[in-house]
Amino acid sequence: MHWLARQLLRLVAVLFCVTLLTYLIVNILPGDVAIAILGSLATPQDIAGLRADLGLDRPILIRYFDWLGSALTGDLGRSYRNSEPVAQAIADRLPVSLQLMVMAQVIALGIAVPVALLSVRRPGGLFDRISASAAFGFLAMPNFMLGVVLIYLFSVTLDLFPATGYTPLSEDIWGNLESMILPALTLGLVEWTVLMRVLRSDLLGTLKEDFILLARAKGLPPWRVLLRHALRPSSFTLITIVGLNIGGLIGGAVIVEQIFALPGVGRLLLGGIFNRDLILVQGTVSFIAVGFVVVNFLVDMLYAVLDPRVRHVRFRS
Amino acid sequence: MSVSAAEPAVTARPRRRLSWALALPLGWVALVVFLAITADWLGLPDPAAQELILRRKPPSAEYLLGTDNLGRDMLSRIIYGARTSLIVGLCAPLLGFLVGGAIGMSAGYFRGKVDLLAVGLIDILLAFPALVLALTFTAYLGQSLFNVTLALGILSIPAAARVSRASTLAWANRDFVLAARTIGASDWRILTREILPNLLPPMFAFWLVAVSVIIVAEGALSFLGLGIPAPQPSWGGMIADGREALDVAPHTALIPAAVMFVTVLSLNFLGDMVRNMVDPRRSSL
Amino acid sequence: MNEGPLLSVRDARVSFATARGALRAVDGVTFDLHKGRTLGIVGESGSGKSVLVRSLIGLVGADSGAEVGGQVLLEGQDLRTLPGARLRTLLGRDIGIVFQDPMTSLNPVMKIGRQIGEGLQLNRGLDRAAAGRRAAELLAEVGIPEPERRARQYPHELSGGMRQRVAIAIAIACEPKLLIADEPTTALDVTVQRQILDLLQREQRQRAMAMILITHDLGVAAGRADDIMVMYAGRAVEMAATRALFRAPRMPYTEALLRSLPRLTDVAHTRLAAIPGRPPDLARRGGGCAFAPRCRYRSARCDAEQPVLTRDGPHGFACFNPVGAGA
Repeated sequence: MHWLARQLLRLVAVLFCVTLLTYLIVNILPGDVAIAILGSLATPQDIAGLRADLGLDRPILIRYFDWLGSALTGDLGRSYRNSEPVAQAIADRLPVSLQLMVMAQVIALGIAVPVALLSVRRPGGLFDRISASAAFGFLAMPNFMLGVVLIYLFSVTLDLFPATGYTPLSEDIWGNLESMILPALTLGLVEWTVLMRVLRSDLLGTLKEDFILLARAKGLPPWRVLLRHALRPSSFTLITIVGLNIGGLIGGAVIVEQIFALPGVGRLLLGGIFNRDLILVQGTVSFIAVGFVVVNFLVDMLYAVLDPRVRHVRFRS
Repeated sequence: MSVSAAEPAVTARPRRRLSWALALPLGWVALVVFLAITADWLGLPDPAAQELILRRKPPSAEYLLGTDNLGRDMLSRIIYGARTSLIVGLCAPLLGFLVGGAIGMSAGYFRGKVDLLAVGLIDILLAFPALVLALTFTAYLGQSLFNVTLALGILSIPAAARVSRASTLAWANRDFVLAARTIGASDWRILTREILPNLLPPMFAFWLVAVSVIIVAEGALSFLGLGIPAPQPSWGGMIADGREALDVAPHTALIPAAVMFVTVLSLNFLGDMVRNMVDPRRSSL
Repeated sequence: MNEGPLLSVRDARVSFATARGALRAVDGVTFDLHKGRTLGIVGESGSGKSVLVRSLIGLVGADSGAEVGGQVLLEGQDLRTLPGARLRTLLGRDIGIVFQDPMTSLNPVMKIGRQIGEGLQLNRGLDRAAAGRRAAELLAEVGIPEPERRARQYPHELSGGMRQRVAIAIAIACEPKLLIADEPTTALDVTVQRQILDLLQREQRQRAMAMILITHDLGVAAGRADDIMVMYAGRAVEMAATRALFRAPRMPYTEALLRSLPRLTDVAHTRLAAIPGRPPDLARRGGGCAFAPRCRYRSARCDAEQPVLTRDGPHGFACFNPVGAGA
């Protein structure tokens, strides 16, 4: 448990630094806020007065700790634009973003795992070469480009799915899926390439191991050897990569939400940025960063729990 | 399934043939670079000149790639956009390379507190989803070519630092470094003379990957409107503009999309080739 | 034994295509193995002994880039011509293998009980629970204490010797007729080696299996094998009953091997008699005897012609200038 305590301590330290850094970046130009609220015709006294009211004339570190204190109780302030509590705004939009990312990841895995398994069946064979080329091609597609292309193909030309707009799950399941499928595909179609490549390479390595030979010597059919014996050790690398990719997934979600006009956290962030809504941006970026750090932490822990070798070594020390 | 039960004493190594499959990506990249450099002398129409009457025209003799939403010549915008992408794409990783490389080398060589600090710094930077950090940077530090390059350069520092740190760790323990120390070589000398040359191949490989990643990142920022400010053309920005008109004038979005795709694809391909040549040979020792 | 041999190998060949030409890892090996007997295959690294055995049971084949030739008859069925699924069934049921390093031959992320029971479920039709019980029984039989607890553990939680016992349990689980042990003790401590060899022998006797014991250690072969086949550069160069081989080796290579073994009875500081030279590059074989460059009895004929295994009663050797009476 000693090791666990150290990891948690590290986690807290990183979270602290991350939120501090965010606060510093966002608040580098304090003057803007007051002007943004009062408009460009405000007098200097008005601006100074408002700044004092909002506490903007205090040293930045004090303001940070003030913010941090509130944040820890769940209060991320109120948006400048509409006075909506930031925490509430995030909470409202979080399910959309989460659904998007989960769907994207499911699509990515759903493509990557079978393709990797089939490729490894006959390395260097036709399927392997085609899938490698396809992976290479999709990897080169920036997600905003792919999103636009998918819209063109499926919305404009084929009129299958809506280009924008969102229907909540609670209202209409099919409608929801329709509105989410293109966004999720946009992310998933790029994500699968990395997963597939890593899994394939790992599988090839695993297949050279002696225990695979022994499995074959037991008379196990090839598919069983692949699925039962080879996939398990290789899946740890897969989990690591999925974990590492979450950052990219989050960034991608921001873009995709914008393209498809989905009311997610990413779109909230962008809106806040365009409107110079500092408090909103502060809260949203902090939330995203903290969430990202925590998820990575959990993935690390999960890895330790899943791989019995790692678990054994860890808990011994 | 291929399971080599008993590896043969000698394995066959297929010769690397310089096929013309290499020529295509190389040619494309060379073309893009050439056009970007010589853009001013090509007699192109002003990329910012709007002719609202001629908006959204498909490719024609006069406007080779058509016109965009505001009647600006697409070909000219694409070429000037290439310039933007290349500047950011080449300079930002360079920044990451220099700063990150130095950090990583120091961390790997001096270990101890320096290493702890460096790793901590890297971790903090990596704790942000990259795009979110880049957005925040450009939004609050102002949008300009310089700021975008700076922001993306800072974002590539952690990756460069990691690569150089790992390499340095591997090399710093070799005997020849110990030998250099025993003859009284200073740390600086060791770092620059012994370790740095061995770091260059993996760093170069990293740089190549970084170039295409940064070009995409810049595209993403510009797409969202937080990258290169209008009216300066950028492929990402052009795609965003074109998105509005997908139903009436798809070429305004699809042409920059295709150009970006082919460029990134070519760069990735070339990067792979170089990495294959550079890395495997170094694995021995 | 009045019945025919259990395993009959005729002119087994394995060659790999390499940049430098065909590498003949196994170059025409012929032998028989009867039920209940142990054949020791002895040779240094690169002699082809592992490749031979793996090719016999189909673990080295076209998909590893190898060209395989010859006949392998198990109870009359030619393994080389069996379709994949049938071969696999045969493999699972009638042949058991123990590999050299149990740390790598056991699946590190699968529980031991499952690894033993898997073959049982597949080849003997047991259901999961029955397979689990049988696995625990087998663990007890190979001498692992607290078998039920161990069955739920992972390989890395056991010591090297215990892991090899598990490997043996896996090999004998489906009651095979032939047990192949490929350097089963090389990766183990000396103190454990004997226990493992004893276990193998015991299991073999109890189940009346035929066994092939591959080793580079003549001492191991001496105590445990009924017959010994010495391999060099992919060919069988001498084949005899153990006693006969040790008493009167005919092939100079065997003689040299025996001489190179240090003996307790040697005077102190006796020089170790190593065999001069190195094993040949299998991709660049000339026409003559492979051992000729290192042989003290070398003659012109040895360089020109390849000696074939000739028989002197039950004792076979491939040499133009054999050691011993009448050489």
